[in-house]
Amino acid sequence: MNNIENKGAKLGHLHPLTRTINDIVRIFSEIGFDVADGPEVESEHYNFDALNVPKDHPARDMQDTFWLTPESQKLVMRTHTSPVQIRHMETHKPPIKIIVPGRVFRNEATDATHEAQFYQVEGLSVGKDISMADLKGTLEFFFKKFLGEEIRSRFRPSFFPFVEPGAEVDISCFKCKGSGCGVCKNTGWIEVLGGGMVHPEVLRGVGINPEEYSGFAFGMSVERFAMLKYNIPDIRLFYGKDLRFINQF
Amino acid sequence: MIVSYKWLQTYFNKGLPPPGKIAEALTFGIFEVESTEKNGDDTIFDIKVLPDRAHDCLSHRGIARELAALLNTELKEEHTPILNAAPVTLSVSVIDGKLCRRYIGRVVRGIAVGPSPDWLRERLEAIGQRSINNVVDATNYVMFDIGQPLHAFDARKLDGGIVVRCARKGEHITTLDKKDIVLDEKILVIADTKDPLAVAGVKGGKKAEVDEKTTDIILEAANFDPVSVRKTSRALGIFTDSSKHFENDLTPELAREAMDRATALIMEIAGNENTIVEEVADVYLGPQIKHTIAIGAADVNRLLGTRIGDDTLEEFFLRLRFLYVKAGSPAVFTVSVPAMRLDMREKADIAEDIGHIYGYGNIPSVIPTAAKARVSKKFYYESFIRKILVEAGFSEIYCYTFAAAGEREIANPHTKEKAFLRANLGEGVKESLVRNALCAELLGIEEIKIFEMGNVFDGGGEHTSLALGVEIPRGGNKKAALEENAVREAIDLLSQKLGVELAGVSCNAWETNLNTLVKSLPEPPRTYEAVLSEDAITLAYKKISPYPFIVRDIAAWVPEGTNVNELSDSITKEGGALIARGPTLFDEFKKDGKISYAFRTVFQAHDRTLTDDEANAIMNRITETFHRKGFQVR
Repeated sequence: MNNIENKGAKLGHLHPLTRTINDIVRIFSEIGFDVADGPEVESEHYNFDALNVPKDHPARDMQDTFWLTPESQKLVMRTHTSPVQIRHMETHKPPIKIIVPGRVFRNEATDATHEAQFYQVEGLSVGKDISMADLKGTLEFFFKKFLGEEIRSRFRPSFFPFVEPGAEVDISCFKCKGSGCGVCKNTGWIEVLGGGMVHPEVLRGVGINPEEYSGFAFGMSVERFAMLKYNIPDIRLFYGKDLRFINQF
Repeated sequence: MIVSYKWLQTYFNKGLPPPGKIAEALTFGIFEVESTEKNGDDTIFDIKVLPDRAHDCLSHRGIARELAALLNTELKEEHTPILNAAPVTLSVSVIDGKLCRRYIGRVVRGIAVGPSPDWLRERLEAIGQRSINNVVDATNYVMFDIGQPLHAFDARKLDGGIVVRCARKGEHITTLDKKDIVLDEKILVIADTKDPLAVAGVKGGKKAEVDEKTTDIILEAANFDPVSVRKTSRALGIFTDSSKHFENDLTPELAREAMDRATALIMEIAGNENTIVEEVADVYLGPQIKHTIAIGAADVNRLLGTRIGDDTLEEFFLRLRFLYVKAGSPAVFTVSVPAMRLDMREKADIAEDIGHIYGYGNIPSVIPTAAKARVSKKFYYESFIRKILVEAGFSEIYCYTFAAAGEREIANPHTKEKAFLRANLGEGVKESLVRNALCAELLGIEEIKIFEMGNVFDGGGEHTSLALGVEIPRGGNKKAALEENAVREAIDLLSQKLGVELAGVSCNAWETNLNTLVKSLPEPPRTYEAVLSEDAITLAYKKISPYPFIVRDIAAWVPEGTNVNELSDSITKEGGALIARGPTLFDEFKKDGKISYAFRTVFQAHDRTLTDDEANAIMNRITETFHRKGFQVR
């Protein structure tokens, strides 16, 4: 008979990234977002072309992306979880509401805030009357639940090939509450998210008519939130397999 | 992009708001201003112009136009200079029309090359550019002013006319900064009838360099294929302001205006009453296709979530200086896309511009309604399994996907040790067991129990794997058996909770295909409630020291009735900040009216390797304290 539970054994610990992703999934499931999943090895088509990233775009150069051999197969380690959204839209009709947590890979130099692999959670909502007002409201709902009622957010114009209009979102620094500190570089705000309205070309590519449907999409880095929330100074700690780190959570 | 406040001001009759307000307007209206620095009586902005607006906003005029729309301020009227031109003598031949969409060449005779006037030098230096001479400076000025790169050649140094062609294999060029470059057939060059004179759009060559002796120049305003310029620039490792403009693409319509402005400026600062300006030689494959977009307020409101009416929309179009034809009610506006706006091709692009002027901050927020999400079977069972394992004492690790060996290889890895995709999780788990076993004392645990879930890659493709392992550092000669037993217990527990038979184990680690396992399980419940719980937000990470730790035990006989805290408090007091774990009571027994308490303490420093001497000194002080209290140290 198993008697592990009766041993009075100590509890193990979930990895802080798991805790963070679980939080995010739980919050979004309250407003109807399903979890979607997809492969980490992706085709160039799903990772770039379908997302309106033009050919010969700097992002496609060898500097940012890991390619698999043989290169003729045009396979990459996905650089975002957006390809899963494309796959999902190809096989589901609107209304669509999904979040996609997953590991992604970028060919960047590693330091305290950059790793070659990290986790993203991306979201997608496509339907008959989805607008930026819905994106704003959804994200505000998320921030309040995830970080507390006092958190404020603000939207600024930005550009990503797969959305139009595009935006970046800052949250009020929950360390100094906006008075200025090292975490927010004395601005009182922390950039945490990118997003916008799904580009009509992306919708057309998956067989959705942009005159009939519109959608919003957003993406966030899980490590960034975990580092902010738990005061973790170095991203590499997440992958150190060190229980001295993990058992703190 | 570096932008000068004073330079921006030249586009407006009215005084601009102070720099802080300009930075704010831009950051929330279109581009993030990454820095604002005072520079004498000027202020310099570093503006993050993103790829979709690099066609029209990589210039002071581009930014000024956007500012005018955002601030609802009028721009000064602009006049393109009209020149009295002599007949053209320059011959221009464009061999490759795909890579060069337009080439304008103009001869200007009888100028004097020398230093630039102060105002021009200051303008350029304010944005971090070096002043070279009046001719080169004039061409640079026009580029940073309106966004069109230009080049000047010494007309007397050419053999024959201008030929725009691909280089031949083996051709060379010595650049203006004296680098010798080997060219190939993929590289577009500006040449005369004999030699390459410049790498098109990227860098000029020494042969036709403008110097203090130059009296006749050929001015070039051209438009090159962005992909070709980008590939050439990267292949040669030469990155210039010119190549940056071209690789972001630019309307060929801009070249003529730039040519006339540059000519007028050179006449002003390098010319005299005898200077002759020739008519241009303009090889242009054809005017740019004009685009129109039919859009109504409903289209804009649908995307932004706003309630903008026809009149307001029309006001916005006027502010943005869009030309349009308005018809019908509700109004449909047929907007003529400005030539500079290579990004604007459909309604969503216009909606974004409207959003900028309206202000993203003014867009309302629609609170989402509560709704039931479909439970993902995979996510549910992953969470379920995690819960079981954590309750059984297992901790979760995340390892690297890139490994030193595997069946799938990376073409451009960071290092050799990360050139493959991991084929299993087991290797990472085993390595982690060994590493963590070394810290068992510090962790205060007797068994290292870890698990991981993640994707692995083998010849068959990609799947999600689940692996777990146990290490018992002080298992002695029963170590392997104990570990295998612990793993088996965990697998039995999982089998029981999941209602499936999980395959056996023969060592201290076990792995299984999670996709296959999940497939075999029944449909999950309707909510994640059973497997996801609310997080405690107040956890904060405590720094781990990279330095080795030292373990020390101490035991003492004390009279019955002594509070055990008296001993542990003494230890804590003497150890202070150097205690990483403990003191932990690990043994206690009574004999002859006395009690023996034994404590284990782990010492570690954050800034150095603690020495045995230091640890011993602490233990000695503890021993003395115990003696003073009448405790007999064993």
